[in-house]
Amino acid sequence: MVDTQVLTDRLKDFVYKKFPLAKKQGVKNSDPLLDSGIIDSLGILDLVTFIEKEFGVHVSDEELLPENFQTLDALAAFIQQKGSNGAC
Amino acid sequence: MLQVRAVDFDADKPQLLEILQRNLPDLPHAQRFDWIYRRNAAGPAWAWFVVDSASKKAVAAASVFSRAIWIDNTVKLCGQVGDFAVDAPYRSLGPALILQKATFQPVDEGQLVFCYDCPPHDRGMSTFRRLGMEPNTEIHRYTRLLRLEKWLGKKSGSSAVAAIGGAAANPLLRVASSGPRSKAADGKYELNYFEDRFGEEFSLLDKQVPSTDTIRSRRGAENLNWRYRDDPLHQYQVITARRNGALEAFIILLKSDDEVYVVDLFGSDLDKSGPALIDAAAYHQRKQKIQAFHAFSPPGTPMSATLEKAGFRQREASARVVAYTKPGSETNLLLRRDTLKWSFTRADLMV
Repeated sequence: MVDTQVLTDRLKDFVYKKFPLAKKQGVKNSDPLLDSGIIDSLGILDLVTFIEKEFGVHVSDEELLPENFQTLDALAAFIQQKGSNGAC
Repeated sequence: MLQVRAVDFDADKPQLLEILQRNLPDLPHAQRFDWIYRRNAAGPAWAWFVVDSASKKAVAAASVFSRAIWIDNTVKLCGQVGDFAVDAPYRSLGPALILQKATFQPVDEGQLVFCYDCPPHDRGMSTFRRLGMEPNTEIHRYTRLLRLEKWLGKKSGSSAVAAIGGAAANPLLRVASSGPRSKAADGKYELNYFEDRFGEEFSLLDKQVPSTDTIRSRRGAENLNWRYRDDPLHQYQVITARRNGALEAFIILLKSDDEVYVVDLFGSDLDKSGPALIDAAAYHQRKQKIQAFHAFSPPGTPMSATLEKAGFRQREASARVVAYTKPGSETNLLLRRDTLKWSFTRADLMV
C-alpha cells in the first residue's frame, strides 16, 4: 500500500502538470477540484486514466462520484480504499 | 447516494426550471418550457433528474426532445438530447454518465429509433468517450462574407482602417458574389419573403424531396410551424423559391446582431434553388449592414456543396453528432452504412 502522503503528492504532481488552472491557483489537499472548475468532466477522464495506470486500480462508472473526486484528500482516500481491496 | 428518476412535467416543472436556469443561464427557460417540452409537433419531451438522496434535491438534469426525421425514405421518430445540466460540485462524470444512459431509455424501449447529442466542444464528448462512442458525423460552420468592415477590423485592429477599406472592398465583394450564382439560378425562380404559417404545400415538398441514403429532418407544415412560427424566443425570416407558383425550396434565416444564420435550406434541385435563395437573402441583408452569413452542414454532403456553390467557405467544426441506437436494431445497421449522409442544418443542432 502506498503511503497517503506519497499518494497525494503524486496526484498533486499530475494535477499541476495536466490542469493549468491548478498550477496558476495552487491547490491544497482539501481544496475543491470540481466546483472551482480546476477539473472538468474531460479532466476526470484524464485523471481516471492516470489513477488506473499509476496505481493499478480499476475505476467503474459507478465510482465516478463527487465524493471520490472532490478533493485531493478524497481522491487519495478513494485510491487507498481500492488498494485495500487488492490493488496499489 | 445518487439516483436517477424521470421528471414529471407538472409536479417537477419548478425544480427543472431552477436547475436549468442555474446551469444554463443564457436561455430564459420558463419562457420556452411549454413550447419545447409539451407542444412539440413531433411529441412531448422526456427528462430525467439525478437526485442526491442525502439532500433529496435534483443536482443534474437532461432531456430528450422528439424529432420527426426521414431516414432512408421512411419517416421515423428520433430524439435530440439537450438541456443537459449538472451542478458544479457534481461534475465528476458519474452523474453525467447516469443521465446520458437515461437518455438512451426511449431508444431501448422502442419509442425512438435513435437519439443524438451534438457536443459543441471536446468537453461535451467526455461521457461518450467513457461509453466508447464515437461521433457519427461532424458539423462544420460555413461562412459567406457580405461586407468587409468587420473582417478588415479584425485583421487590421483598427475600425477606421476597416471603414475605409470596407467602403472600397464591399462593391468588389458584391461583384464577386453575384455573377456565376445568378446564372446558376437561371433567373427562373420567384423569390419572396414568406410570412404566413406554413401550409400543405410545405408538407408536400417535404414528401417530394427524396431522402435515399440520407438522414434529414421532416419538414411538414406542423413541424415548421412549431419550430419557426411558435418559437417564443426567436423571430425567423423565410424566403421561398417558386416556379410557376409552385413551391420548390425555402430558406430560414435568423438574425443575430450584424450576422445572419442560415437555420435551414431545403427543397428540390437545391444545387440551383439553394444559391438563388442565398443570393436573394444576401441582396436584402447586405442593405441592412449584415456582415456575414453563417450556415452549418457536415462536409461532403449535397448541402455543403450547395453552400460552397453559393459562395460559402468551410470553417471550423462546430459540433459533432453522436447517435445512440439499440444494439442489433435495423437503425443500428443503417447508421453504420458508409454511404449514409447526415443532411443536418443549424435547425437540427438547436434545442
